Formats: sequence, structure tokens, C-alpha cells
Amino acid sequence: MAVPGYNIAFKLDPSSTGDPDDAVTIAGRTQDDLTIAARTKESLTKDDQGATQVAITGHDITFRATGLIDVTGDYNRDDLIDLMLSGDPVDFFYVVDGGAAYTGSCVMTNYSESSNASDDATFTADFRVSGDLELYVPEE
Amino acid sequence: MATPVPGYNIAFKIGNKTLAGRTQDDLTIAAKTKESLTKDDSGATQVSITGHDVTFRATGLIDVTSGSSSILDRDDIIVDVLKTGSQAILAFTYTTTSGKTLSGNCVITNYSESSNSSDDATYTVDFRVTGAVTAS
Repeated sequence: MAVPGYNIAFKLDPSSTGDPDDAVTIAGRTQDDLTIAARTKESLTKDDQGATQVAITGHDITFRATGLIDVTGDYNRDDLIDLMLSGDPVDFFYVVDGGAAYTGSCVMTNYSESSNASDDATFTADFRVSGDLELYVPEE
Repeated sequence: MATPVPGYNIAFKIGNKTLAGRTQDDLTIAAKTKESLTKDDSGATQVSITGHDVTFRATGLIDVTSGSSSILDRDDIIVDVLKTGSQAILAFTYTTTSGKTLSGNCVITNYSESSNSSDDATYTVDFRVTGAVTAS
């Protein structure tokens, strides 16, 4: 059964509570994107006869949060800019209703805003996972 | 008279399991080439094939409830995505009703999810074949 997009949430946990219920979504959010890109190494010996051997050595994991700029919500645009300028790592959760939740630490690698004459202003925030992406297991 | 193959009759499988919520399977076979150009070629480059880069892309709607002995759901896929080394090598088959089946080993080189406010959440997985492809 398909998952509606609004049932997926990228949440920040700036207080490191370790609990996805206490983590916060970004105010005005409209889209969350996850990308897991493998780092590969290749080898090709004569005996491979042209069929390249590919191995995975690790992963680069990124999130992109997109939304409408909101300066009044719980974790809003001003908080994002503060986080960006601090350069500090922040804990996160990525949760799907009915599915597994993932957690880890990330840093914010890019923040941008766009505002034109006719539409609501929007933001895009890019986060890169620092360390492992871990399956969240609630404490008993 | 041509007999087109409906898209739903083509299936990419990992470990004999399809991917839950699948909407599209793409296969790309790109030739690796080398070129040579001697004076006697009079400007006509000679091209030969030294091998192939074979990739698959699977796209679908995120589904976290349909995992079974024949289907990988979203959480199963992520388990495979995060593997490294020899564990990351996965057996695949690419079947076409009444056509040849391609098989071999592959690794997952990219996984992405996208969820917005109004549509069903979607995923895209990129696979790259490691070693040779068998057509049978």
C-alpha cells in the first residue's frame, strides 16, 4: 500500500532527546527527499574480459528539506539560518508512518531562499549525514 | 506484425523478489568503447567495443507493508542499500514474458526517496551490474 507523502517526515532533534516524538519538523515543510549514494570502487582484470567488477565501500547520505518560509513556527526559518551559520552537527530522525525510522547526526551543507513577486517565499535546506544512518529502536 | 510487450510484463527482481510499489523498471546497456585513428583511416575513426556498463533503475511508490517471500518492501530495500563489501552484491533477474531473462549480480549505487504534501511518496533505486550478464 502506497505511503502518502505527508506521512513521511524529516525531523531535527537539536536537544538530542533521542526520541522521534520529541524531535521537530521544519515549519512550512512541503517536501523531504532522502538520497543514499554508494561510493564504489572498480576493478578490471584481463580475465574479467571487459565485465567490470564493482564493489561498495561506503555511502554518502543526504536529505533535502523544502518548504514555504515560516518565521513563526516551532523550528522555523530563523532557526535554520542559525543552524547553518553555526556549522554544528544536529541529530535527526526520518520517520515513515507504519515503517522503520532512521536516526543519526547530520550537518547542514546548504541553505537557500527564493522569493518572487507573486508566490510564497520558499526555502531549501540540504543536510549530509555524518557517521552512520542507524535504524531507530525505541527503548523498552 | 509487431507484438508489443506491456510494461507490466517486464520485471526486475532482486533475489527473485520484485520491489513493492514498483511502477517502472529501466535497463541501460552502455558500451565501453575504444577508438583508433591511423593515417590510413583517412579521418574515419575506428571504434571497437571493449565491454559494457549495465545498469537498472527501479522506480515506484513507497510501500512499507507488502514485504513477503516474493516482494521487497521499502524497509527491506534500505537494508540492502546500506550494505557494503561482499554483502552488497545482490543477485538479480530481469524477466520479460516470452522473452529472454537477463541475470547476474549487481550493487545498489543510489537510492532516493521523495515525499511531498499532496502525492504518494516515491523511491528510485539505481543498480549497477558487477561482472557479466547472462541471457537465457
